[in-house]
Amino acid sequence: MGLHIDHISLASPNIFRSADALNKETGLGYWTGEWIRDTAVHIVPLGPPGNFIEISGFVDVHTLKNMDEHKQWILDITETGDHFNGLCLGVDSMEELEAFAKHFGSKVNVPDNPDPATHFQRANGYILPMASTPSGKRSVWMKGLPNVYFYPDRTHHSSGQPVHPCEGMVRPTGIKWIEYGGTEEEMAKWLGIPNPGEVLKMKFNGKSLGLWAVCVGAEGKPDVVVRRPAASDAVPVSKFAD
Amino acid sequence: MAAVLDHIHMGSTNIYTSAYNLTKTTGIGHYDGGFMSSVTIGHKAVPLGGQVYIEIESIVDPFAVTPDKEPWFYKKALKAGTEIWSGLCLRVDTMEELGEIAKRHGGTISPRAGRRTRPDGPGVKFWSAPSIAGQGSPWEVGKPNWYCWEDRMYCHPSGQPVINTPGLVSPQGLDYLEMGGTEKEMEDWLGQPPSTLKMRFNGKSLGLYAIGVKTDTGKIIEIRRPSATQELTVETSSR
Amino acid sequence: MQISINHFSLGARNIYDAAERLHKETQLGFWTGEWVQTTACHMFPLGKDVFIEVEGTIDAHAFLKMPKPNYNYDALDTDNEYNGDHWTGLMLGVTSLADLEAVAARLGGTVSPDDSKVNPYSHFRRPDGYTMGYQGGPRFANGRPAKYPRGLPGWYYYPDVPGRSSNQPVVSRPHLATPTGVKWIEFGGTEELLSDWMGVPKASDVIPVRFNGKEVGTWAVCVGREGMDDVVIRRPTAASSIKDPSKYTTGPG
Repeated sequence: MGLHIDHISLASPNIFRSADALNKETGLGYWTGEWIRDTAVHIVPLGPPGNFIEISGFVDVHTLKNMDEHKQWILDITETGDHFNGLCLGVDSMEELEAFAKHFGSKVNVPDNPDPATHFQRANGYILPMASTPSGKRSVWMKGLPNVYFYPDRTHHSSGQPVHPCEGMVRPTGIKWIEYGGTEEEMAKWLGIPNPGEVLKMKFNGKSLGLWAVCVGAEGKPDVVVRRPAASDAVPVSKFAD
Repeated sequence: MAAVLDHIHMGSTNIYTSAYNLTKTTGIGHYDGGFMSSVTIGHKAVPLGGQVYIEIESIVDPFAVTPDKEPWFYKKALKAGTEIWSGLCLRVDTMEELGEIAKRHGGTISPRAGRRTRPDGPGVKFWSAPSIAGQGSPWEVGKPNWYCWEDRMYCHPSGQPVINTPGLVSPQGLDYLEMGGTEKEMEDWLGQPPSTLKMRFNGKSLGLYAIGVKTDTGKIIEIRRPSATQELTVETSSR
Repeated sequence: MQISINHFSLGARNIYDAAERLHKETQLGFWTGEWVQTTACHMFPLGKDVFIEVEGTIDAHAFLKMPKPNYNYDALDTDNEYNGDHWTGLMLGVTSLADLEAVAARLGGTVSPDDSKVNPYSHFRRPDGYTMGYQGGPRFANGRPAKYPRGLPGWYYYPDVPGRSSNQPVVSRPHLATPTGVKWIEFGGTEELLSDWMGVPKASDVIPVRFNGKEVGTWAVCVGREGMDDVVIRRPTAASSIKDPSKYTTGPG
């Protein structure tokens, strides 16, 4: 597939309420049960070739006793409701991922830790192996920038797991476009590719960096546009300037 | 790029009892895979781990199928009185690779896409090779064929959840495939070393005879059935 | 009046982590997705219409705004070998609304209204839109009577038996045990106290309960498993980790 959109992160103050609301708004179904440490995700598959929205949020309020910059960021961007806080791109091989790592001046975060607690886990016991870049103390999401993933085993990719039978469900047929802050030039520079708009179906709105909307096809129905503010709208990326 | 094993076809006369009994005897779970494009053939899937699965197929609407239109694997399973291993299917990632394989065998990519409809609705589309005019499927003569999925690995059958059944084990991929014929014959057909597909050979008539599935208990479960080319009656069939 | 065990509440800091540990400990299966407002549950059917709801707060902002001190939070915040898991409830069931109202009246309280159809988001809901229609009690308008400490069972009436949380399919995974029902419960306090609360001569004649004389509440649940040994799920009861109960309002029940 080459570089493609893999998934989108929607930070939520209450993932159950947000998933229910998104379903009522769009008809998109979701499945539950995936989590990592103090955070859980409800997954909203978006159709072939395999994309999804992960609605993510804290599920352990005791974690708030030990705050750090990232947790504070999540609290701050969800104080006024759902915000898109991550665009996650994908590649089809570790070699391609390593090329991006080199371009970012970083390393690949490899899924070789034997402790299940360091990986996304599902209610059926499946531990999700995925590699990503760039790797560092501070997520590039906080600067409104996408990162890149590689899944060694796509057969269990979150986009392909069955959803709960939700009310008024529509069948998603794939991402048609996404609306991103900033300009195509900025994104081209970040990713090191000349035409991210075409490759990644991106439109640019010149607002603060981050995702602002995603359009998904729906079988037999009009396209669905999920519009939420970017995280940078709640917490400016300048707060995390190096 | 070398092809990898995608799935194994089990021809059956009743997908419900075949899937139920397979799960009961092996602990390997299954789920309903829907029905094939002809609407008369039903499908159960048995994920094996390692991105491989078994597809169990049989006629589910006998009144819609005249005897001359019954699939060959159905007739063979009926005659044998048991399921048969009716096919071995490899996977490539691109239609270009599939085209090269078809060309190497003097054929083409299947003129029409194969289709399966999942119980929750979405269609699954794939192309296969080689398709050679005037000849049946390679499976009928005990040879593997190749697939390319339209949506690549999206919702690949090997990654879907199985139904909840007491006593399930977690399959961890294949340990071996026991094939008829010889290694040389197979390498000539495949265009790659059979060892890349964990094949071993028993010198009998062509086709698949048994698979060994690794499990999380450490035990390897062998599933043995007659091959596609084995001459059998109910009396002589053996598991 | 027919009285049975309805369910158990197992309070957890992190319901995902707690459910995974409970599964590994018992091989019992669970399902996910049920929630109400700021609380979500992973459900463990135990057989014979009983279940454990592994329950926790899943809304950080709502938690920060909650009045403090918060009884359940403080109990769960106490470290133990189960990452803070505590039994937070034993719930009894009756088979009619009339029986539930009679229990509430006897104890000096009322029952919750059946407004699941008009206020669905005030009730436990599932992703498929199913809203749990049940009523519970007793609710005490002026706080809980002192003679009935926190930790004594709540009472429920669930009209829809097929829809019960105990009857929903668990997530499929290998080596699941099939639960065959609750064999016994270890409860704090005394038989006299629980019998008085239940309005029966002897509580252990009605439900399989034994008493350890410790703080009131569930301490252990023994569950049968088909073809396997029984499994005992032992956790401290919430009251045992509350240093000064007088700090907390007893609320409606």
